[in-house]
Amino acid sequence: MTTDSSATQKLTPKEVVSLVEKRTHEIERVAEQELAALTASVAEKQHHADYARITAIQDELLDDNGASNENTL
Amino acid sequence: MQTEARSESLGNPVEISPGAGSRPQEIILGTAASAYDRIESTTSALEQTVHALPETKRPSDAPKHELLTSLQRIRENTSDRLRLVALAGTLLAATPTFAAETSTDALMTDGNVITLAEAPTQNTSTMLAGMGKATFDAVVMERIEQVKNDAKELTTGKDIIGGEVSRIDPALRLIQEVPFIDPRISGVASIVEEVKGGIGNQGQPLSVPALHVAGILACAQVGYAPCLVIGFLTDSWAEKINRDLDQATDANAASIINGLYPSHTEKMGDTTLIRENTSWGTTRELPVGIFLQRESFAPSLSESDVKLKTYLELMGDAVDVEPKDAETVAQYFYRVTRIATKDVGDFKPIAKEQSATQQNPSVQTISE
Repeated sequence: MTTDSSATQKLTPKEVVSLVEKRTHEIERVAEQELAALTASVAEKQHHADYARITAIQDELLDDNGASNENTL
Repeated sequence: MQTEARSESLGNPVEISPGAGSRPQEIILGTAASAYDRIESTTSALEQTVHALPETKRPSDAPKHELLTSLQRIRENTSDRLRLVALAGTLLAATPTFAAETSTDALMTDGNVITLAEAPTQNTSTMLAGMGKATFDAVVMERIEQVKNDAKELTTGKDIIGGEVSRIDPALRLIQEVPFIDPRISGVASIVEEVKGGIGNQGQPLSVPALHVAGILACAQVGYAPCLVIGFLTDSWAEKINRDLDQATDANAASIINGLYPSHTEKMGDTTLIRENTSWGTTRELPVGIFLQRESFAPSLSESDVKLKTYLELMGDAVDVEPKDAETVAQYFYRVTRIATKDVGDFKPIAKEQSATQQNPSVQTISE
């Protein structure tokens, strides 16, 4: 333990507030980093979902087009 | 301008005054609440996005439920950590000398205890691994010695609490406004089991309520309260706690507590504090709910039993404690306290000439 109790007892309420704010921001930063990583995963999943949907629509359109051409022929 | 911190995990609505005239405790609570709200906002938005996603069949994609689980973990960990830092901060700001020792540890980046304070749901053994048991034991002993020295100062007339006594009351109220009960715990029994199992088994994580119970235990152990003590957990202590918990009888606990803590209750606002009168001639307020008279935890909980009611309300926020469970809760804390107080030995200067009934006839003597 490296805490200097004689020093810590001199903390003023203002210093305590500052310390809490610092710790809070650190906690918030960690959470934001984790959320950012998760957001990237979600975005990738969203991209794949969009791609799959677009592919499906394209296939459908191609099928329709093929059927139409058949009819034309 | 008055704003209201209304985050569910941070507890009941707390009036925050962010202006220049705000008290430190209010600023701290506001800081924590704002941070929580920001994270909660991001988390909720992401959660909605995930819910709206279709499941894809790509093996490389994380299933939706995994994403949601991760989100929940981030939300809970952040909430836990913010809550504990806020709690430590409010205590420290309100009682700078009284709570400095451990609360500061909980905030200092270079203190090992911060690991426990910041990550109560992580693996305890991992947290303590960097310190080593021998070192940790030495730290604990050092802290106890410090408290003993403080007590000596009291006996020589130097009141280390001094003018800070009046500042303890708002701190106590703030503690009640910042619930430290983990909503994931579904029942009182699980808390008890977790503390008994978690402290004794380093492989088990400690949740916030378990850590709180351990904190109460440590407070009582050093005879120092109210005080945020986080991390006074060692193997040897854990073994003793578990052993004594198993062997303790209510009768023994009752007589010991009644002898050690001749106390009377005092109404302060909507809270009843239990005052401990010591032979030092000074008075210390103890956290509500630690020392309970039998009348307070009778199955038929009366409205006047504010101290237990307040505590159960706190717990009830998360564990849905019914009045019929009050005795279970109270007896647990009762026994833990008994175990803890036994450890301090001759350190506790007790005003044995006074009894609870002498000081306040309304407080019943605990009968065996």
